[in-house]
Amino acid sequence: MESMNILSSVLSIIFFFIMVAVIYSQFRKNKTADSNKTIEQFDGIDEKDAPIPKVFFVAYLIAFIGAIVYVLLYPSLASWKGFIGWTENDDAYVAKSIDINNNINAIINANTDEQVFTLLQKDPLVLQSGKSLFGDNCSACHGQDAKGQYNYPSLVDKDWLYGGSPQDVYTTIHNGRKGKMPAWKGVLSGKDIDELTQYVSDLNKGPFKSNALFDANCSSCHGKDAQGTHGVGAPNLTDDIWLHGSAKADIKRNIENGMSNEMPDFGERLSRNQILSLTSYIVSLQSEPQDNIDFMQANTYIFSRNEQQLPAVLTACVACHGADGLGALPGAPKLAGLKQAYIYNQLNLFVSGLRKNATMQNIVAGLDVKDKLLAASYFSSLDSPAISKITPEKSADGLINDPTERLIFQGDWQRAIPACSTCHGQETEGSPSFPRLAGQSSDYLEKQLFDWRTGDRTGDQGHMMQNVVNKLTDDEIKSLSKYLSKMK
Amino acid sequence: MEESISKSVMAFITITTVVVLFSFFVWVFPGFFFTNDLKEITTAKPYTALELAGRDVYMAEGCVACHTQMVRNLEPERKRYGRPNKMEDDVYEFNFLWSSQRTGPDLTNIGLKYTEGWHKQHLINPQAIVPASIMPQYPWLFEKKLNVSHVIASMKAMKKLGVPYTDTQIENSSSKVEGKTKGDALVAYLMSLGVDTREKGGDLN
Ligand code: HEC
Ligand code: HEC
Ligand code: HEC
Ligand code: HEC
Ligand code: HEC
Repeated sequence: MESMNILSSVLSIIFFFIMVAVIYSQFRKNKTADSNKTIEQFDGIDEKDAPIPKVFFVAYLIAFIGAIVYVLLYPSLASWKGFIGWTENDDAYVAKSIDINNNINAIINANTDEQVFTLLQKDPLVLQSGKSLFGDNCSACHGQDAKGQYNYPSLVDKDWLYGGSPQDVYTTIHNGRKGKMPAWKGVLSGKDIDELTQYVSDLNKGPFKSNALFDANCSSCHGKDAQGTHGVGAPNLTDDIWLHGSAKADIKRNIENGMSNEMPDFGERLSRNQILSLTSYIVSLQSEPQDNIDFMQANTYIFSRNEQQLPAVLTACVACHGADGLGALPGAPKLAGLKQAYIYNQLNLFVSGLRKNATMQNIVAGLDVKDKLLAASYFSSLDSPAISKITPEKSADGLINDPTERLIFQGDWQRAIPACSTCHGQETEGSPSFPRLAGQSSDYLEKQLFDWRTGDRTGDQGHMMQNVVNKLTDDEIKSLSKYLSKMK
Repeated sequence: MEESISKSVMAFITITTVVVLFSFFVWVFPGFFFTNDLKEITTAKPYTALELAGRDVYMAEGCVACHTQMVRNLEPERKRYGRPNKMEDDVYEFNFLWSSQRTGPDLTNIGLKYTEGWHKQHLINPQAIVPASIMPQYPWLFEKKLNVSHVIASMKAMKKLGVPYTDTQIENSSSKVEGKTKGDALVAYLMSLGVDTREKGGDLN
């Protein structure tokens, strides 16, 4: 590609100089031109040797200078980047756009979650931004007015599948949702399904009566009182709001065939602040927005960044791991970039002793479930540095040259070592069950890998990581740890 | 000398040809040599048999007439349609479906936006989901079955053009598309758009 760019550039430069030469030679000749001299005659019409008008040369001069200035300023020839550092991404529309990131960051940095959402409600720019994001990304399913339609839930009523607190709504947009209801045809008899259909369609008509079939088969998701469960997105069946049709035939079909409904995830497409604007907009559409905000788990710090007001549980962690989760004491790993599920799971592994570390085991012993969830939600919400894409050099047969890079991105199939990236992500950025590795401290990574050897760290599902570590040599563990810690 | 040039037809033809060739060598010719480099850096993946069949339906139904697949690197387009196209995204595209008419929205990254169920509902009756839509309805696509031999033929053609399908892949493709409707294939194609070239960290901002 490079050589072709150079070819194009050289040809362009040659063309430029030929043009300059031609115009210059015409300019020279112009001096000797004589408008009275006749060069030729066609049918009595004289062709005179008249000089070319000056303006013609001036125009060319301007064009030549323009070309040179352009080449100097912009990326043009071969890999020249230009003096003003312009890139394609700078091409913005020449229209006034308002940046609301500062508004949102200011609110986030000084308040608890509850205050954050109360204040966001009062910022018209945030709500306006949420509205236009909703129009572009959500209205095709939930409707322009967010009132929903067949299969797609209304976002303005009080009947929430997954909960209507700002935290719930944020999580829904960030992670997406997959509501699954199993098919009952074949599991229950036709008679049972008819009975349940009748029962469900009557639920909203009178006072609640229990039903043995419902208790046995449906209450695990829809709840004993058929009021629904936010955890699995099972709807309340006692109201007259139907996502998939209210006719008896619809209800019967839904029970027989089951359903799988999906809300796409936007966590990797929209920024945190965009999702916060959307969440605020949806909350603002409710009849009593403050009710939804009050609905939030008290005292959480999922979005807020108020260090003075951190709950007592977290102040302990922050001493070692840093309020930004980037590690304050040597030896304490970075937690920013790890996902909630992973952190929560590790805390439990420390409790159960499957993962041994005197410091952490001591600290975690005193935590209850709520504390652990709070810690996991806080640390997983912190921003972690972006990782730039790495394109390792490969030899002709497609193998990566550097042995450490090869282990990370291609693995070693002769020794049955899968690439680290197959589990930990393309750039080892991690996912809910696999920790991020890029940028983690190298001493920590090394210690973990040796801990698996010695049995100080266990509890990895299916011994996934232990199986990998057992096949690595000491030198490989050291060079992998160094390399991964330098990935930024 | 000048006189002879302005009078000679041969000189006229030669000079014109040289000038035209010049542009050819600067603009067109280098492109022939990029493909291998682009294949190295691209994250694009060849279409599966079903997706490829869907792409043929997309062309046959003239979706290109109303939809572009070309997000320009301009702020408003990035915000609405996501990651802008890059040269290397299209290494397995024969032919390009960039199009130039946006009666409907751009579809470059549409696979990240909706679900299969939504696409099916929307193709059968766009107005049922987006009341103001002027997109035509395509209910019959979900009644007509795919022609398996056409799918195999088009995979073979793609292979000739440089898409790295293996022979077993082509043989196995019949079982993958057997019994599927044109609509299923089109939905699979739409759901694949933008997925392989997805980049982390917020492409809509
Ligand atoms: C492809 C269609 C689709 C798109 C696009 C979509 N949603 Fe959804 N959304 C759904 C479906 C389907 C559900 C119900 C999920 C379930 O039942 O598990 C849902 C559920 C939700 C819920 C939870 C509702 C409840 O009752 O708990 C919220 C909030 C929500 N969506 C917001 C949004 C926002 C904001 C956007 C735009 C960024 C969006 N949705 C885009 C289909 C969509
Ligand atoms: C595994 C959990 C689970 C079980 C068990 C379950 N459901 Fe559901 N059900 C759901 C979910 C989730 C939905 C919502 C689907 C969606 O997201 O659109 C649902 C939806 C429904 C609906 C449609 C409601 C509407 O608004 O249209 C009906 C009716 C229903 N269930 C009845 C039943 C009956 C009767 C049983 C017992 C035989 C049962 N369900 C068992 C999870 C479950
Ligand atoms: C005295 C310093 C210290 C304090 C206080 C502390 N940690 Fe740790 N933490 C460590 C060290 C050291 C490790 C590495 C353990 C190992 O080598 O296995 C660690 C590891 C962890 C890990 C595992 C990280 C990974 O990548 O697997 C998590 C999660 C964690 N700590 C969370 C917390 C939480 C939550 C708190 C507060 C309740 C806390 N820590 C308090 C020092 C500390
Ligand atoms: C088969 C999937 C898989 C592969 C391949 C894999 N890992 Fe892991 N790795 C895991 C899992 C799962 C965990 C989390 C274990 C747990 O939950 O305790 C983990 C955890 C780790 C940790 C601990 C990180 C922390 O924050 O505590 C390190 C270090 C690590 N892996 C390095 C590597 C390296 C280096 C490679 C490539 C040679 C690799 N992994 C390949 C599955 C894998
Ligand atoms: C007459 C022009 C026209 C034709 C032909 C057409 N569309 Fe559309 N399409 C639209 C318009 C207008 C919209 C926006 C309204 C809507 O969502 O229905 C749209 C929307 C869409 C969307 C949703 C885009 C988004 O971001 O919301 C998809 C997907 C789509 N069309 C696919 C197709 C496919 C596949 C075909 C060919 C079978 C096709 N369209 C043919 C006009 C057209």
